[in-house]
Amino acid sequence: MNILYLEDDPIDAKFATMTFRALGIETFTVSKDFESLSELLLVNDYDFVLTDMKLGMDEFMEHYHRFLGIPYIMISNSPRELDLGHRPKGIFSKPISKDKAEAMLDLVKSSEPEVPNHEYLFGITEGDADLLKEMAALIEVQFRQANEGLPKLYEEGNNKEVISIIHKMVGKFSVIGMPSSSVLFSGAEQTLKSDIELPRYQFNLMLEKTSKAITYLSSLTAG
Amino acid sequence: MNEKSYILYLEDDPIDALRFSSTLKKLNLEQDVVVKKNGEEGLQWLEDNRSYLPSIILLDLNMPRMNGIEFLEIISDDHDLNKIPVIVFTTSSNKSDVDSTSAYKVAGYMVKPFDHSDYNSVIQIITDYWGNSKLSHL
Repeated sequence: MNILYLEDDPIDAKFATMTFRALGIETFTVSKDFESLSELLLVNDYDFVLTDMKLGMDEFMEHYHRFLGIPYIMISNSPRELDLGHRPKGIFSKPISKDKAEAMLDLVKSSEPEVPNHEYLFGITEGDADLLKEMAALIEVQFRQANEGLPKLYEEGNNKEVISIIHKMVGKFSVIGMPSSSVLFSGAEQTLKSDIELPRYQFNLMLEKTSKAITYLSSLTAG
Repeated sequence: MNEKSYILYLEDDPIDALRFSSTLKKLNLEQDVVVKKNGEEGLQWLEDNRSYLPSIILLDLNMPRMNGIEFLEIISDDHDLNKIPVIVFTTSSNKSDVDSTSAYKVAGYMVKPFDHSDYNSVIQIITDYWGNSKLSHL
């Protein structure tokens, strides 16, 4: 497991590194500011991010939008100040003791990978099999076109077209029960609208999620 | 088409259009709907049907060729078309979009919910309100 810890206090950082190493986590990286955080996120895959809340949630959330899909856990000694609309996997106080570190690992490991589910689409169609198939087929077509067209548009830097395509996909991911992917795409849209380069890592993750959705939708339309 | 009142829905996404019409059917709201894929096609429809204008226009904002704001700009200058109540029906909750549309005195701005029961409620609200309003002929 590969963990990234955003922490500017060297003592807290050292303590956490030792704690996680004692649990067998060798790949534990500390970033002390948002600039290095962004660089690290561009080149590495992380299983989750720990972030010290005192470094500023608003700025963190702005950077978070660039790597949506990775769970994050907040470290704070003042959790009451937290806006729970930010939805971390968990909130822990300092110092990060062994039992807290174990609890964090359990939290992340117990999170099931995002699996499309029928709830929303079935809700919309209310068991009308024909309508369900029709709607699933339309979404599948949209997603297949996106998967085919997006790579070229991304390479060309045609952000306007990319935004237009992914804007429509945001809602569709929610409709097929993949809300984390919906947030991933929404974050990408906001990134591009802010004239910020979309990291390749995030773009490839978006294509993966789209392929996963297509597989699910194909299963609904088959037969 | 007969002379029954109808909704003109400008929406480029066929999934959203299907969702809308299937929801009307599910809620037993017998309402004719004409769907056009962008503002340009919407304008053409209105031109071709000047003697049979829609009761309300549901307007998506993000459409190709002519988006919702561009559509509003054009109809606002038309003496007959600017009387049709326009309800923006969009996935966007951006303040800038809300502000842009309010400048054209739209009749409403509704964000499309993802949740199906919320979505049904929004459609019911729109049709209940405009069914009783004297400003439309629903």
